[in-house]
Amino acid sequence: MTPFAVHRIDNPTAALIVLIVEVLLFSYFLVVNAVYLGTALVAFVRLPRLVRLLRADPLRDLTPASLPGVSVLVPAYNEERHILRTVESLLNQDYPNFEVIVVDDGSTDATVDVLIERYGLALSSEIHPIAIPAVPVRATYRSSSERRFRILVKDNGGKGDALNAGINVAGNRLIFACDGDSVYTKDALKKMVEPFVDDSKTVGVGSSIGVSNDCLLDYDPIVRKRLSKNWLVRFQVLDYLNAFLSSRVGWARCNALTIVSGASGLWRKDVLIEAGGFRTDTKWEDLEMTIRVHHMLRKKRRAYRIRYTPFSICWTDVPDRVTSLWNQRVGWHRHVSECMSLHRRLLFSRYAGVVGWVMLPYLMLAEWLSPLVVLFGLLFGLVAAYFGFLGYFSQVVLFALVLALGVLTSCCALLLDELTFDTYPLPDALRLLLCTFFVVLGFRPLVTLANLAGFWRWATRAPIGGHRDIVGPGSPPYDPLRS
Amino acid sequence: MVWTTIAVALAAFVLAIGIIATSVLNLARKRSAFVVTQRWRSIFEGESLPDSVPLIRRSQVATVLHVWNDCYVAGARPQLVRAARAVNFEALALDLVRRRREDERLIGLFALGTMRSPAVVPVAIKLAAGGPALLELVAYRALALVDEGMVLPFVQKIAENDEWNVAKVEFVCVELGARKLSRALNHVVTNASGAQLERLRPFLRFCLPQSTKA
Repeated sequence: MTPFAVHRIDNPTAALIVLIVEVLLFSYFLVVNAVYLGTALVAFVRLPRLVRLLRADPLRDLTPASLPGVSVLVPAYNEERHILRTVESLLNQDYPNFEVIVVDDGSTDATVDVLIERYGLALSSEIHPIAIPAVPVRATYRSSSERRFRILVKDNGGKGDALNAGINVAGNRLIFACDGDSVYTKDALKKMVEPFVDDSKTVGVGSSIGVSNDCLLDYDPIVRKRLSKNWLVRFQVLDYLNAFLSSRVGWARCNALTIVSGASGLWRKDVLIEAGGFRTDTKWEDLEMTIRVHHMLRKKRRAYRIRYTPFSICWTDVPDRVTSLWNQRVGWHRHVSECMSLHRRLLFSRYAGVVGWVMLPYLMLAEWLSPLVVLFGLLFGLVAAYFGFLGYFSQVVLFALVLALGVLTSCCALLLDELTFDTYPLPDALRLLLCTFFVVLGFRPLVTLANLAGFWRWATRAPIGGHRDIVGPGSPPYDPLRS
Repeated sequence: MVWTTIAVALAAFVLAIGIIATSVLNLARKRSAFVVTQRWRSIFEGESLPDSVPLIRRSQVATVLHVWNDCYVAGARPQLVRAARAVNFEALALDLVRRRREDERLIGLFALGTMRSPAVVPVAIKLAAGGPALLELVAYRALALVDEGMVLPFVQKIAENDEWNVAKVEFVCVELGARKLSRALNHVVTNASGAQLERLRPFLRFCLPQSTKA
């Protein structure tokens, strides 16, 4: 039996074409999985050791007053249900020097009202410098009781624009970009700032994100971590463990972290300003900013590091319905497409190093083009079956291999979590283990379809959608394609 | 391809068994660590030592010394020294330092440094020569606390590397005290380059006025 699906083809040209296509598809499959398992291997070697060492450190809880100041930016659009929880968790930080700035991005619900009521905020007349153009701030509210907290109210311009408005008023040299619907552990800022303190070349830090659906939250550490009963949420728990534990630890090790998540990303303010601030014309802003900073600093040949802390300092609810998951993943894939297009010149350029020669090609193959490859593979299989080229036994074996690799990758992530953070108790770990089979059978096909839709929306230049439709008059940010 | 599939499936099966085993072990370890931590924390934080202290099994040494270190950093110091003498922590910590795992070495090294045990010197010299930055810092701390002659290499190391967390170095400087640090700081500052001076800046407050003038 050949390793591929060729059964019997009398026409030598057709046989050659089928063989080439199958070799290409199989190589793609092998390369993508091999790189993934490679990053997982790095994580296996490095992460448990690192986490044990950090936990054993008797000086881990020191919080000297000399730590650098942080401005926490919380862009909020219609977050009346979550915003209080988010702000409480941020104001509760065990950190000596920080401010929290909520930027209301033209909410049409009571986001601002609930904050005004809770903190007794009053209008304040402030003039803000403009380092990055953004939709003008209409009003600023300050609290007399909580001096570290203020709200900026502006017209809608998208998350990137809200962050830019926040950067303009931020008083500290570090910017912590958050989401208005997540909660943060008490040591979040301390853990995020540590890489800056340890290494002066650090310009950005990303963190792991935990899934908080059905967890008991009480502003400060998650009171009880437990697995949701919703299977869609469970699949995403595995997906998050895969991304944050197996993959990012490996990429960060070689200074090629693909993304500093928008829900918990710490950046040096001067680098954000130098990069021109967050883009307002893309579906999301975090992946683009991370690649842009890589692009800018590599092009300028400056020594820098984008670090990653594997601790889940941010906990967020993931979609628990198929429609909301679909919308989220369509948006994510559209953003990946936008980034690949915007930063195509970083690919294989002389100055790009590991980012342009390994990380971006992998992102292109494993993320951006993956739905197209899957679609092509399926169509090819259908056509081959129609003409009677398929060896059905080979197809069954191929399917079994895909299933086994899917289970293997999920198990890698789950085992890593058990060896390091032990997030879920034994019964939940067993439930997640059971999920590993159904991830391949149900979740991944759904996500692949959503990715295909995202690719299509990008290719057809469909409107960005949601509140991001209204784009502010911000100037174009640093464009590596033009400079 | 059949064999590849079988191999991958077997690997996945082994990992699945690994997950279950690790999860069960985690549960048992957490329970045991909780009991040991509670028991010894109350001893370390108590006014006086109980008549008889619990026996420490080999598997509990790291947990007990971890609690001891934490209590030391939190500031409960006189009782800790009494407890250390009563239980012969020095031998336990030395056993930890000789183990293979870095976290256990770190705990043992920190405790030996705190106890100013001369027995730490050979191991600390070896660990200070290379390894994770945190372990290196704790090894230098132990050496500087035990032997005043090692304060100068410690300060030189602060000036030369930018991998040590400033807050942790500051803690060690406070432990050493201005009297021990001042001369070494002056010596290093006199011969330091611009970047080295920048790294030493946060610690210059440990220079005593008379030695600064000198």
